[in-house]
Amino acid sequence: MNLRQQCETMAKYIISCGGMEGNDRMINGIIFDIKEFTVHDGPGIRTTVFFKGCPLHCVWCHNPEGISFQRELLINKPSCVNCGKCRVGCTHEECKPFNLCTKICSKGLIRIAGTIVDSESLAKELMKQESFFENNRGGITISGGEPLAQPEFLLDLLKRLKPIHTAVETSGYGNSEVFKEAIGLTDIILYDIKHMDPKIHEKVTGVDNNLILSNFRQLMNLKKEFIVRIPLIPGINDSEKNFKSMAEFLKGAKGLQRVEFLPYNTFTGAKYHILNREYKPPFNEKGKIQLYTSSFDNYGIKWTVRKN
Amino acid sequence: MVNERGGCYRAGTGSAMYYLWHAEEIGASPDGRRKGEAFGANYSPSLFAKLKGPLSVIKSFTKPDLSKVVNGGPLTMEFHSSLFEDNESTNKVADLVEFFIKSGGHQLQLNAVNKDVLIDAQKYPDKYQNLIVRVWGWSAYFVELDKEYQDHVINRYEFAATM
Repeated sequence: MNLRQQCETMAKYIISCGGMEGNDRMINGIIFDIKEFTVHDGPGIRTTVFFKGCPLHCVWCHNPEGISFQRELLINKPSCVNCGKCRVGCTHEECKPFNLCTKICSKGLIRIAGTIVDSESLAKELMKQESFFENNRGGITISGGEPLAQPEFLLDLLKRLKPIHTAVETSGYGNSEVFKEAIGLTDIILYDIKHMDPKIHEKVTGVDNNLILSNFRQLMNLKKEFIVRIPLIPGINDSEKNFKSMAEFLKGAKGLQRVEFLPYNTFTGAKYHILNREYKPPFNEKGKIQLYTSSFDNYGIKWTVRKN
Repeated sequence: MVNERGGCYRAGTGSAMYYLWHAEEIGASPDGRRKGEAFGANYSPSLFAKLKGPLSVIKSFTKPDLSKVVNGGPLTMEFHSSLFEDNESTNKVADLVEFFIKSGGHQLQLNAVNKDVLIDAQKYPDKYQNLIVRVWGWSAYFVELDKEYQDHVINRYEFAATM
């Protein structure tokens, strides 16, 4: 039984218990993947849990199945041989919303993104890898989607994962109190900064950056370790002016380990087809990406550019 | 039961080339393998099961006491070749190897995935449910990428090979 199936079984169990068990209230959340051996999501070797659902809708989003908070059907159509087995009809409870059998495909081309799971079961599952994370070899990263968008689930999960090293990867768009509490419960924060101009930010992500910047100021004044990640999108946020104001904003942050620039890559749209969506970026995907890092150097901010 | 040389049969986990040689004569198996299709090499997981990931595979593989196993076979795992390109991630692979040995494993075979594997994965996605490729600052299951992007990844290898 794979993890996805296990989670589904757990989810069914939880629903059958009505989500309550004595005074110990179950906190359910929705996740869309668990990836082991992720090597770029924090120190050491990590297992990354992807929370499903995000308040932002970035036009360059590479995880489109992480945006909606609902369960979604993923179909890999190009490899489909139209055998028709999935359309015959089945009695699986979880297939009902989709009018399609999600289990029968012999090529494994259909799956559901989105597993409802309670924090206790998820922590238990992740704790199975505890032996691996001994001697500071790595830990668990909570990513998404947006982890702060499922506050109770996130905080409870972080509490249960102790003493494993944890990282939270966030857009910073979330309730300030929740963010503060999450900082206290985790070992390192991976924080995305996308644009300094609130109007452009709203245009390309769906929300302005006020909350993101104010949460960041909160983080800056603490001693918590953090890494800033900046996706570089051609013609959107790679202007000299934006680089300068980003560096200006980041200077003097106590716990800042380094800035990681992630240059845009034309593979971003690769997964939209399985969601039956079209990827239409409002910028020139092949445009040359500018890198004005002198202001970062002037403030002594360490930075790296991630290779693709 | 006595073997052909008069000795006793010993259980082992090394299948040598028999995982291919027996494929023709052994009928379909419950893991989804059809008659004629290869078995997982040695003691490695079935090629037809979706797995949780490398850490879980190592944990399962090393669960029995392998020091009692004569004729032990290696665990074979495939990783995208970019994982071996910089020091930071190479060190993380070294951590994985250390974890394998400390857990009681005896032989681990790591493959960096090359172009031929990717072309095969494009033709037979069912055999490559666990093949992860790095795409940007993120990884994806190769078989879930749009064909156009799969071609891109493949071409990238072609380019790398001619350098």
